[in-house]
Amino acid sequence: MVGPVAYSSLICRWEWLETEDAKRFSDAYRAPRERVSTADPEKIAKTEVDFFPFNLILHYLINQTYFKKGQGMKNIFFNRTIILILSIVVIVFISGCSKSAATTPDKVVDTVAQGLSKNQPQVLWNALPESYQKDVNELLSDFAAKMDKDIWNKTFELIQKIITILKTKKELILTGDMVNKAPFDKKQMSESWGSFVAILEIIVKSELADLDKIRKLSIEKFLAGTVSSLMKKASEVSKLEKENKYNKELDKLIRIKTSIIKTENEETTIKIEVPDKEPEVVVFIKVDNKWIPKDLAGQWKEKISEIKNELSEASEKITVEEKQKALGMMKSFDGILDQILAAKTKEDLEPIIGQGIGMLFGIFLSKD
Amino acid sequence: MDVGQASVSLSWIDLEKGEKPSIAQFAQINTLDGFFVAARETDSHFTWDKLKGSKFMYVHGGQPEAMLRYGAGRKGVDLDEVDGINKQSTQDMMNSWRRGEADYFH
Repeated sequence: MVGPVAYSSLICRWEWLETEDAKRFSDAYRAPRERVSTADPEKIAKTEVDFFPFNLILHYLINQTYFKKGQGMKNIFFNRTIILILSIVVIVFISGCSKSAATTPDKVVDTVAQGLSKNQPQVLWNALPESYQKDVNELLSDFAAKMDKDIWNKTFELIQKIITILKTKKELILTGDMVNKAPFDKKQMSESWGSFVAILEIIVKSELADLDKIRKLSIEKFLAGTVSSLMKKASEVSKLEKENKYNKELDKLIRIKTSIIKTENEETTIKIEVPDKEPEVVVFIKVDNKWIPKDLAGQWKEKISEIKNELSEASEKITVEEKQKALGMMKSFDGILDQILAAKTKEDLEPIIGQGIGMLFGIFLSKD
Repeated sequence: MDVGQASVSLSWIDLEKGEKPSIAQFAQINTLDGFFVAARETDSHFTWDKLKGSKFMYVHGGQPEAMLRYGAGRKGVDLDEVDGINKQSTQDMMNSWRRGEADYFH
């Protein structure tokens, strides 16, 4: 604080100051101004929260974040988790877009495309060279070892509670103003509700809910089980949409055409034709006796190294203080979920949901 | 509309010219302006003179700079002696800070 200098003021035209309205306004304004200048800030915040719950919660959450080594404001737990999970998924899928043990690269592309079209994402894993699989396994194991167990378990506990809310409060949520004023198709939302809940349940009941299982995870089985189930549910949801984009994209995989253009110096160049897209020419080479795009092979070590460094920095053991802060935030969110579960009417429900959404926005906005 | 809201600095330019402001500021909404100075590392021994010789990213102009200048002056630091970094917008400031530019942030 720098002294008795106001941050903000009320303004008007000079001539208005002489009116009776101005006198009445000033008389009415005097008492509340005095109160907000002298009352306990926490009491004022509680009084105001109903007017703008999103902003207050957002500000609260941002204040719970910290500055660290030039990276701006960060939320410790969520940043690290998101970075780690996304990195692993990206590695698996980008690398998986290469090929399998097929004898020529065009066959590799065909195998992967056909497998994905049949909800068999394990073809991606099988397409990876053995050394690449080892890299991904190491990253996953490292993540599971460094991730805090209490925070991880609490996260899945919260997701489980959200599932219970979605199952028991569907009608209250769908008939409320929040949904009815939102710019999306309520009928479609209602129809896809069950599939969405099922997707969340697949995740909660999967190996991802247990760090010990993640550490020993067989990625091939995980892809063949959990991810395959998720793909099937995604397909069900997509069928309820007018454009059905997901299934249309999968359908294109079945109609992919590949052909070899040339082979020389242990490199094979193929043409990949995907319906409605420009043909692509890709050069393949062999790594660990598996065909993968040359560009990918050239960047693999560097990218893996970059991600390892990123993971190493992001997954440093959190301090006791940081952990308590994260758990405290989750406990607050848990409290909001309990209130939602206890709500009997949509009038009770909507302000609480607003707070919950505000809190989630705050968390993700503060992660940067 | 009869009543609006504006920062205190709205009238400064007119007042500095010795002119009557075109708009009347007739009531305070709050009573204390304030700001934070952030550093890259926790520093329990921070003293304001550390701003000298460091790169300091702060909002240039208007009430924010005036309040900073006043606060720093009260702590014996003339803002003109600080290596200040100016950016066009808050977003530019945040992006530059994340890239590692500047030692302190206002």
